[in-house]
Amino acid sequence: MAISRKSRNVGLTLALALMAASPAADLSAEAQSAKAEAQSAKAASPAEARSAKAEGARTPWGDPDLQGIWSIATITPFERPSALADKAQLTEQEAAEAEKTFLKTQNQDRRDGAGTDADVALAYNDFWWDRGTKVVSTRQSSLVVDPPDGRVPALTAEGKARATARAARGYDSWQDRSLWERCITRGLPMIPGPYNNNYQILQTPDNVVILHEMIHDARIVPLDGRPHVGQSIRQWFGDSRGRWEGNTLVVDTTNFTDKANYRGSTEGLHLIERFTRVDKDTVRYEFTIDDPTTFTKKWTAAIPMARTDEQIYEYACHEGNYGMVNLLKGARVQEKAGGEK
Amino acid sequence: MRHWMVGLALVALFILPVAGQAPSTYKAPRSPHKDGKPDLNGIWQANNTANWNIQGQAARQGPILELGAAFSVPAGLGVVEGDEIPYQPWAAAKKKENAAKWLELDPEVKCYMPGVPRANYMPYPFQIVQTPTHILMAYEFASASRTIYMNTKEESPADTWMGWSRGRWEGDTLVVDVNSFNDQTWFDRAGNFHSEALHVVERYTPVSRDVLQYDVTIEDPKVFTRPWKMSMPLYRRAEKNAQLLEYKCVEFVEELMYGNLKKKP
Amino acid sequence: MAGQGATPIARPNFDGTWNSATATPLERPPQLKDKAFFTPEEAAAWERQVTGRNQGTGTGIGTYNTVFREFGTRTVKTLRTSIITDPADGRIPALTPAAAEVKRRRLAGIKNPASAQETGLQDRCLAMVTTGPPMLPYSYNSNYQIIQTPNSVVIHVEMIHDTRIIRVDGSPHLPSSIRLWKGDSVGRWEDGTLVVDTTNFNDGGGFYGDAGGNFGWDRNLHLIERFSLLDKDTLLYRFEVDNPTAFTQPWKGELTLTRSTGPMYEFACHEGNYALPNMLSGERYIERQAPSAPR
Repeated sequence: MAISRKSRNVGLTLALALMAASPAADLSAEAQSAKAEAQSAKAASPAEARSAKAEGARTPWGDPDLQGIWSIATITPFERPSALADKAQLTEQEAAEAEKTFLKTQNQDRRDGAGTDADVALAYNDFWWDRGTKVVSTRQSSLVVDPPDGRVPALTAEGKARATARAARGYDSWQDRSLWERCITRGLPMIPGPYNNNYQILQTPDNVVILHEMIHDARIVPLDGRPHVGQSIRQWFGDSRGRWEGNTLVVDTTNFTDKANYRGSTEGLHLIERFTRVDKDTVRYEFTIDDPTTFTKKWTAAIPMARTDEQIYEYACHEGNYGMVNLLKGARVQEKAGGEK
Repeated sequence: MRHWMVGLALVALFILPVAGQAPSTYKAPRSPHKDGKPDLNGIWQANNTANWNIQGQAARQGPILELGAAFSVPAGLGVVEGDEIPYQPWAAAKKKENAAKWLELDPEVKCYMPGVPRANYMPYPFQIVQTPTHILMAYEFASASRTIYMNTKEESPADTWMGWSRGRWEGDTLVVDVNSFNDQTWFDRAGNFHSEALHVVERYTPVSRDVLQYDVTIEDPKVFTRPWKMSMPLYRRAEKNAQLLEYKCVEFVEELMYGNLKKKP
Repeated sequence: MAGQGATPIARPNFDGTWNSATATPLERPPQLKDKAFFTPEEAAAWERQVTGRNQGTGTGIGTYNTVFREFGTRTVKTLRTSIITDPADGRIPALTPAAAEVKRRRLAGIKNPASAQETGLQDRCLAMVTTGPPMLPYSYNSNYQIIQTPNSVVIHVEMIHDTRIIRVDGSPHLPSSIRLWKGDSVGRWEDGTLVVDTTNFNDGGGFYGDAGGNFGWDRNLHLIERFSLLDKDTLLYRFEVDNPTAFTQPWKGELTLTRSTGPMYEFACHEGNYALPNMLSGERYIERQAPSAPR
């Protein structure tokens, strides 16, 4: 689920206003561990960053410790606005400005158009949204980091055709609605969404578990080297296998169902994710999409996961899915009234 | 004379079934988190008819003619101690009504989260992932899950389907106190139900490498006249490469739940 | 292992295959009145008479002929004139009014079945008299395999591939909410005899109108059976029917089973049950031909 258009525009505006020739800093460990803006005033020195990695960052049996509850809420856009082109990283000042502007436009008390359809559309206001208020701690200008222009590569012809078919939405049946509206799953990879961007990681020597708050999905990743399940088993979350490469947990996922359809991807999608603890409060999450029938080349996004003190709460999506009933009913009423879909 | 009495007592200990189990002498391996607690990690599953009916029942024909013997109701001994559920009179009547309208009312049919303890004895496996501060129980059914918060007094923020679980260790027994339920879940397919005042206390004790003894006390002053207990073994899914698969059943119930709202062709 | 002759065996071993086919009828023919035993000569004469009758006439459609039948050719080893030993006339005692009504309804149903549920239990492949309990011989496949362990005596009955697992470990009967076709059996050893106590029967109603049976039960049946060895190749089987809501007095029976060789076979009753749909189809045909005919 992409960041809203509003924040992209903010980024664009800011970029035009504050375009500086700052070198696109490579996202080294030092840069990543630098704490920006209001989250924390101090910037950790390289020595401090290294020591944060070394001590308290191992499980009792010696694996890197990724455990905790992490949030990926952010205003950083998924794809880089074209105006920012090859500017991979914002300066601290640019980031602060972007955040200020974003906050101003997300007025949770808006009531313009009270009593109109527009008002209904505003019903989900900032009381409910939890999109985050900050750019990611690395100040990267987009979550997509490869290709270097920060944009998802072009679709293949087949991928384009599927995207077109997918786009023809309607209200004939629940099958026309998103997996999200149907409360089936938010699937993979982990992307910031409108709220509840929370994930809990638990570890044992044999498994890493990533609990997604939405929709209460517990991904259990075995680390014992067992093979993937057979080809006939297709799942919304695919089938994941994990291994440690140095300090990084590499999760390899195949066996997706066609219906998972991430940005048009097919059941041939091969997802590689990497989790690295960079400091006490950050896990770097990186995912690579490899689906040659859909995308003309592999692409990668990186999303720093920030420690949160909140607990994961129960997200009873399907149990409370009045939305589906109401939108179908509304469509049927409109049809009866002779109105357009 | 006395010898045969001793012999009879010994025989009784080992042969007569006892509702509460004799204390186990098994000592489970310790958690890899090195906190000295038993390791409950693994994939577990009950193997009884409790999800059909937590009380004993005879076999009978199922509700869907076309499913014949593939989905008729099996007999079962039940898992309730004393085989009696102490309903208040109004609640006993409601249970009967629930049972008569099972297909219409049972939340399992709509793929709703099953609540506790039912999630533990549905015919699907669940996985325990254990750390010192959090124990996650991930259920294959509907991808339901719950986290047991260890050694905390933190209160629930809101009533939920799966309740709010707080755990502690008593020796090698994991004791879990669950409250803050909504009133939407059932205990089984036989219409046994509760209110939002439900309070569940669970005890998980490893009694052998592949068996957990699971004892549950149910308390709900709005529905029952006193607390009552269920008891059953949970068996490890010991096959090589056992893993939870997906049973994301929301997709399977859309026609059932929204079919009447589809556009007519 | 098995004792010889008259030496009693403390806890006999019933392991093996047994056959209960016999020329002795369930109920004593009325003309024999209170005569409980044959002399050896009378028994032999009886056997000749029964065997002759069972040859069949070979005319008409009939049903099964002797290729299919395994009628017993010998009386029981004890030379009794009937399986039923009590009441003294060797016949099933009078039914209670409630049971009589069940029987009447069942027989009427069997005569003109409107549905599968109105035919007999054996026709529906739900239960056979060879299993019961009590276990009674039929015109074929009266075969049993017994396997004993310290905790259970298991009787595998050829028809209908049913297994009675009799707990002998002192455990109690099942809760009364659980009702079973074969009831629930617990056993104990008493001086060379396995005494089996069976309760928890269901409302199946029994074998009224069924070949080989013609008696019923209700859920209150309390059955006692006694198994002992008369000699190493003869199993003595005795039973007591205590069901006051069905019979006006308790009744008892007894028969002998002969040790047999040869395997038990699979009796796939339901899987091969062409008879039931054919019977019902025939009934529906008759109705169409003469719709106003009295039933």
